[in-house]
Amino acid sequence: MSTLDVVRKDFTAARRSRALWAVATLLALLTALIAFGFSNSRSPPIETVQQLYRTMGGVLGILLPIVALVASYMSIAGERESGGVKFLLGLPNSRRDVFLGKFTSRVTLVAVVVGFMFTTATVMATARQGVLAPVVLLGTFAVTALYSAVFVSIAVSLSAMVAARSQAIAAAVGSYFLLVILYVIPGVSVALLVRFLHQTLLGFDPNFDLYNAVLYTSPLIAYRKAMNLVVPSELERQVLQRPAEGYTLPGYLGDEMSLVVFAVWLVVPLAVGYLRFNGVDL
Amino acid sequence: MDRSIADTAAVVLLAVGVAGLLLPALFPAQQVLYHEVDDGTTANGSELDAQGYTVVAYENLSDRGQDIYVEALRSPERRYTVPAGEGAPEFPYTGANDSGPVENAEEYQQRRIQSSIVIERPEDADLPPAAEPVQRVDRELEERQAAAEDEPGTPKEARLEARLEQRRAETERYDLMTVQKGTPRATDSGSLSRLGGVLLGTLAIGVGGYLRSRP
Repeated sequence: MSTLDVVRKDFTAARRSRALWAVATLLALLTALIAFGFSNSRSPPIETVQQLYRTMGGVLGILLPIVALVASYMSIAGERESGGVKFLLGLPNSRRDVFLGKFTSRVTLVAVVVGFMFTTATVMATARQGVLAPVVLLGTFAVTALYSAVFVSIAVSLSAMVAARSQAIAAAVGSYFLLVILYVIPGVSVALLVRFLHQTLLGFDPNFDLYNAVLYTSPLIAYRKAMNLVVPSELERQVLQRPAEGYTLPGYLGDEMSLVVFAVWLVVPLAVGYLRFNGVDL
Repeated sequence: MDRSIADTAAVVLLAVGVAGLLLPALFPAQQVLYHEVDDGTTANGSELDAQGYTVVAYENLSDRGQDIYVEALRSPERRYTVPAGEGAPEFPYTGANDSGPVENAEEYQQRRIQSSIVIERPEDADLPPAAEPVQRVDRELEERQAAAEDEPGTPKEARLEARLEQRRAETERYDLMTVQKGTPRATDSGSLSRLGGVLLGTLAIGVGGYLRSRP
């Protein structure tokens, strides 16, 4: 057996889950309904469809991390708790094969769910508006799949670091709270906290580049910025704070940097998770 | 459930699901032309002409244009919708849709002018009544307030009433019809049947996929 065999075995086992099919179907129904209800009588059909994908991005930014975390949080912790990991490692598999196999399998699984959601939305949009926006569709799908891969990376890595189901659940919920909720609820935002520390406690002058840079560390904010890369310029949105008219974001806060943020969130958790999994006594 | 029955059911559901998703996309909704006569107008022909509206006498409309106008007046919603290609040649269907989003009130007014046509009704026409514009009350109120300082029954108030009556008679002859090309409304039967197809297809794929994948 090798990484590919682990991928095949894990994917086959995961796709048998009734809960997974139920969640995928519900989300696909949701995106179909969004596509049906979305209309803009003042825009031509092609622009309406492009706006739809942009709007879907806003919804998926909040929902997809839940799907990715739920689909992955037990990937390795479950094997450890049930003892299956000893069987996996008893065969000529290295821990790297198991770790990479689990990650690849769950990324593929979540990408299929995302693909199903985009399919129903696209079908509904085409049926309603009579047009297809292939470039924006492929762009938003690619960015969304990348975003979900980030959360799969985090969840698989956390799963590799813990040995029990309860710990895996706590880690998944905690990561969602830290990486998503803290960036969307007004009043408890990370940017506000940093601003309070910087200005009120330490007494420094306001530095919006710093606050924006902290904000940009969230995969959610990076996802919103990355959406600007794949939609027409008139649909781009201002994601970071602009304190005054004429303020221009420095280059390191540009939309392109979102790909670097994604890369960091993909690689660093995987590296840390693998190192912990490789050194732990099973 | 017997394994072979489950497999057969899964295949059937997946086939139904794919068809449910493909058919609405292969036969999408066609664009329709909306005609609304709900706004009316408080201005007369020369004022509307000066504002940039296209003013056309009812007699000068094409037969199709006259039919559409009368149908819109007769409709309880004061709206008449026809499939794209069955509109009247003189109506500005593309005036509003292809110009992007509206930024401010001025642009909105400009867009409204581009997507509207003013119809001058014949004086003794046997047409359904035009809409009573709600703005008329505001417009007349200004003139009434200016005359309010005078005692009731004075000749000045009588003159005001006569002037307002004359203005009503003038503006009643002008009706504003807003036209637009767009997708059918969500409550349209065609739209609802496409929604039903997609939802059914999605559910069928979900259930069929699970039955096909389970051990």
